[in-house]
Amino acid sequence: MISARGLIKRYGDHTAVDGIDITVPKGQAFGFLGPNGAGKSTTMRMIGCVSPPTAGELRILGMDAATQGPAIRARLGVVPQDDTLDTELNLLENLVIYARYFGIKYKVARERARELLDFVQLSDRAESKVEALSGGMRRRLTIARSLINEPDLVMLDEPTTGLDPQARHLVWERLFRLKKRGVTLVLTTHYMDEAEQLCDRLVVMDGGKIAAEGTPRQLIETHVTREVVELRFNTEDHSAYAEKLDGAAERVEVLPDRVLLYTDDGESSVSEVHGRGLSPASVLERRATLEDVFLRLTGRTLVD
Amino acid sequence: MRAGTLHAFEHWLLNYKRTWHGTLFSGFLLPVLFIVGLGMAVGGYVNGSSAIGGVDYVAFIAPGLLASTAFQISSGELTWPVFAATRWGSQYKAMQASPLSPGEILNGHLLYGLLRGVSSALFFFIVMAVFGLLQSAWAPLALLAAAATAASVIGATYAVSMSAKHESALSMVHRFAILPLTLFSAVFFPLAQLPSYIQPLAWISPVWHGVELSRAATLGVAPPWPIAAHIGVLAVWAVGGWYAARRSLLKKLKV
Repeated sequence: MISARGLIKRYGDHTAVDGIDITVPKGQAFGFLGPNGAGKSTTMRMIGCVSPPTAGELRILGMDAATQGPAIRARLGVVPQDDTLDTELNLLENLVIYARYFGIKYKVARERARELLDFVQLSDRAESKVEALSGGMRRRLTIARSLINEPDLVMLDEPTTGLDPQARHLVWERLFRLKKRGVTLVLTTHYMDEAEQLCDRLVVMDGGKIAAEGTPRQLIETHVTREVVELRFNTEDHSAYAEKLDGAAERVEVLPDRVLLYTDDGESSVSEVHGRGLSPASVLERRATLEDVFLRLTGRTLVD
Repeated sequence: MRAGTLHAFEHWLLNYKRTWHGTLFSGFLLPVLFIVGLGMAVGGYVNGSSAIGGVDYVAFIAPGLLASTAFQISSGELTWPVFAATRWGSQYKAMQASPLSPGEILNGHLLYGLLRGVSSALFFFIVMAVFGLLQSAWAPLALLAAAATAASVIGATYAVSMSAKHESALSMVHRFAILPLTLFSAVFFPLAQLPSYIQPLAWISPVWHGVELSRAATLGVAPPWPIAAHIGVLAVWAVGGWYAARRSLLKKLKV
C-alpha cells in the first residue's frame, strides 16, 4: 500500500524528514510514534499527497505520490490532527459536501452519510451544527467523513488526542472494526497504549529519522528488558542511589523522583536491592511497555 | 470546466444557503434605494442635462449601478471568505485532502464569487425593467457587461485577500479600492466631469469599462472607447487577476 525509499522533506534549511524507508502492506495497522517535531505529521502529509517530498521515492497504492496526487487522494481517507470540519454546517451536510469533493453522487453520498453517522454513533445529531459538538463527537465525525469514499487506506493523525477515556475507547473500537474489514490504517499517536492496542507494526521517529521499527512486542524485546522495577526512596536526591544499585539489574536509570531497574526478572532484582541493605519506600514491579521503549529511544528531555 | 471546480463551488453554494437572506439588502434593496433616492430625487435637478447625454438621470445611473453591483458583490464575496478559508476556517484544508487540485479549489471559489455578482446583477436588471429603464434592444447585453466587470475583478480581489497578512488589509480593500472605484468609475456622473488629470485613473479601472459598456447597452449609444478596447482592458484584468490569484493560493498552500 505504501512504499517509501529515502523520503526527505526540507523546509529551507530545516530537514523535517531525513531519509526514511517505510513499507506498509495491505490490511496492516501501521503506527508512527515520536515526540513533537519528530517528523510524523510531515510524513503523514506526504503520504496524504498534500505535501510533495523534497527527495526520495514515495509510492502509494501502486501510484507515484509526486505525479498522481489526485488519483491517490481519491482512494485515501484522512483524519487530520485538527478536524477541518465546517463548523457552520450540520453533520450530514459536512459528510455530503465532502463526498461531493470526491465526485460522489448526492443520492449515494446521503445514503453513505447516514450509514457512517450510524457507524460512529452520531445519527441522532445528524441535523445539529458541528459547532455544538464535543471534541470526541467531532473526532468521530471526522473519522466518519474520512470513510465517505470507501477508502483503501485511512490515515489518522493523533486520532484520540484530547478525548476522554469513553470517547477514546469508542474510537479504538471503531478503528478496530475497520481493521477487521481489511482497511489499511496508518496512524500517529502520543499514546503508547493506543499504539499497543491498534498497531500491528510501528516505527519510532526521532529528529526526522526512524529510530526503531517492529511489532510492539519486538520493540520491547529489542530495546528494553521484559520487566521494570520502579523504586522510590525517602530522599530528596535519588542520584546517590546510582552507585548503590549499580549492577542490581541490566540497566539502572536514575530519575529525580525514582530509580528504574530494567531487568528480565523483577523479583530477583528486588531481592538483590534488599540484599544490599537498601529499603525503598515503595517498590513497583511491572512489565516493560512501549513507553519505556519510547523514552529510551527518544530521551526524556522535553521537545517544546 | 473541470468537474472538481464544480464540486468545490458546491461547497460555497451550500454555505450561501445559510446566509442568503442577509445578502438581499446589499445585492437587491440597496441598488433599488439608489434608483429611487438618487435617480429620482437628484434627477429633478439634472434630468435631460447634456452632460449625461440628454437622458433622465435615473436612466443614466441605473446601468452604472448594474455593473457596479456585480463588481461590489463579487469582490465582497472574495475578501473575508477567502481570507478566512485558509486561516480561521478549514475549508481549504479539507478540500486539499480530497482529490481536488489547488486549481479546482481556486476556480470553484472564483466561480462562486462570479455567480454571486452576476445573480445580483440579474435581480437588478429585472428591477430596471420594472422601472422602464431598459431603453434599447441591446439592453440584455448590459448583463454581459456586468458579468465581465465581475469577472475582471474576482482574480485580483482573491489574490489580495489570500495574501493579506492581516485582517485589517481587507477593510483597506473595501475603503480604498472598492469604494473609490465605485465613486470614480462614471457610475454617478460622466468621467468628463472629473479633472482631466484624474481621468486616466478611470481608464485603468475595470469598473469604468464595465459601466460604460453596460450604459451603452441599456441606452443604445456608442461607448466612449471602441467596444473591443473596453473588453480588452477587462480581459487583461481578468486574466492577470487569475494568475495572481493562482500564485497567491499556491504560495499559501505551499507545504
